[in-house]
Amino acid sequence: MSDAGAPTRSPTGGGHLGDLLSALVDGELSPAQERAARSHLESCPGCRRELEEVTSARHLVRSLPDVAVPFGFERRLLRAGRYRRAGLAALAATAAASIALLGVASPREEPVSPQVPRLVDAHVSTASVNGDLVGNLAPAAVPVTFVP
Amino acid sequence: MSWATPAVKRAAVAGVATACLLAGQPAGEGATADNPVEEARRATEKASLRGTMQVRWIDSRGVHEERITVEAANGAFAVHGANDVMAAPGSQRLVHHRGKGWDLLWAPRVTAARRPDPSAKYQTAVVAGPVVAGRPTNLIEVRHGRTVYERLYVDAATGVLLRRAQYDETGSQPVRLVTFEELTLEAPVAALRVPRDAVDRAPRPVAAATLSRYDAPAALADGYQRIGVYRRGGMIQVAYSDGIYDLSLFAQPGRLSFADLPSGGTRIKVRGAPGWRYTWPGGHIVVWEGRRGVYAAVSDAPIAQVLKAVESLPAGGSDDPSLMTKLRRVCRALVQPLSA
Repeated sequence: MSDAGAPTRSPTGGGHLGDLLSALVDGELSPAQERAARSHLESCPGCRRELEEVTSARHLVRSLPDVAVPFGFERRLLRAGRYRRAGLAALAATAAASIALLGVASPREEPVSPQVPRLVDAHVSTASVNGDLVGNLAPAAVPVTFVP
Repeated sequence: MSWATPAVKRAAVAGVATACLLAGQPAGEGATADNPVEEARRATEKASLRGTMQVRWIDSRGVHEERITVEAANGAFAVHGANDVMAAPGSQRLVHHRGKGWDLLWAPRVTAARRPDPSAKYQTAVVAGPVVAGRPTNLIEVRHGRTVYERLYVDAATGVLLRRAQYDETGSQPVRLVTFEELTLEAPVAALRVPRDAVDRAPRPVAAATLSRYDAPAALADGYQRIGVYRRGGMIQVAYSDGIYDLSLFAQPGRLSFADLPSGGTRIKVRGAPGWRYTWPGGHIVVWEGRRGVYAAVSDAPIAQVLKAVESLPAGGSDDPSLMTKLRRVCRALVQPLSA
């Protein structure tokens, strides 16, 4: 339950609806998202203003007059589609070759598992040189083991 | 920075005087708060003693205890448990694991830098302490703000450290204890034989300037100053200290093999990446994979300080693997089944 005068939490988890407004206008939100968005709008003047702007822009674009298509436009469009498909195939082949090259030619990283007891030995030997002998070396006499 | 600055001495004297007024009992000779850890080490290096000690620590599974024997003579100090550990003249440090030979882990050729002044971060006070292992002590209390971090009990007569108790973040619960249970000082101990057949695993000093600032920053959070950079085999070890605690940062190239890590760790996030945390009798270990390889931090500091220090590493060094590295790993994973 929100405080009086404060906007309810946006469905995105952030402060305002943002891109969800456009999706709301286009009917692309799920029922739950739409309910949450409309609940937010009831208490957020900023988002209501932005909703009006988005709605106005949408109406403006849809109100534009149809444009007569120039001669040959459809044929040119279909030819561009064929070129695009050929381009996509070439791109896919290049990507596959790149993946193969990176996968085979890249230097392998060796799997490393730090030898924890050895690290402890190294640490205590270093720390005890200018530090406390008893406090550093006594625990090192106890074997480092970890039991689940 | 020299320990014996006039300000440090005035603070130490004021601390001792205040503590004496409050406690009504003067501290013994040889006890000062200037640098208790270093003074205790010097006293132990000169001592001739034999005794038994208890090592007690707490981890997620509960309280653990082990008993070990200790002897010191002719400038050497040796601890005998499941492992044998020795400090020999010339700053030699040797470890012998059961079933294996001796390893020389520090050699006279390596010079260790001085630790920073702990008074920059901690406050210390000295009062007469309880009897430990049958001997009167001076208690040196190490505080950070209002929280007690350590209590050091040094032999009132010789300055040898008899007990070291480390506390949790609240300062009320001891989480680690190293204490003599029986002790004979000035004991007629046979000269300790320093093994001559130890495998030389001592580090080689590395000039910090040859490493990037990501791998060996001059300082970490919470007052940890870099005091040395070394190469140990295929690893780089960067040693840090805040004057009381020490932290070693180990780095090696490669990818962390999580399956081969010891069990018993606690999974944590380290710099946004998955990591593991372990507790050992002397402190904590944190392991994680970063942009430039596999990292491990080993320290006797409280875990909160260790994690804070690790998180303060400069970004771009020990962060998540780079995008290119991730891309290479994905491509390798795709190709591997075809090339097997």
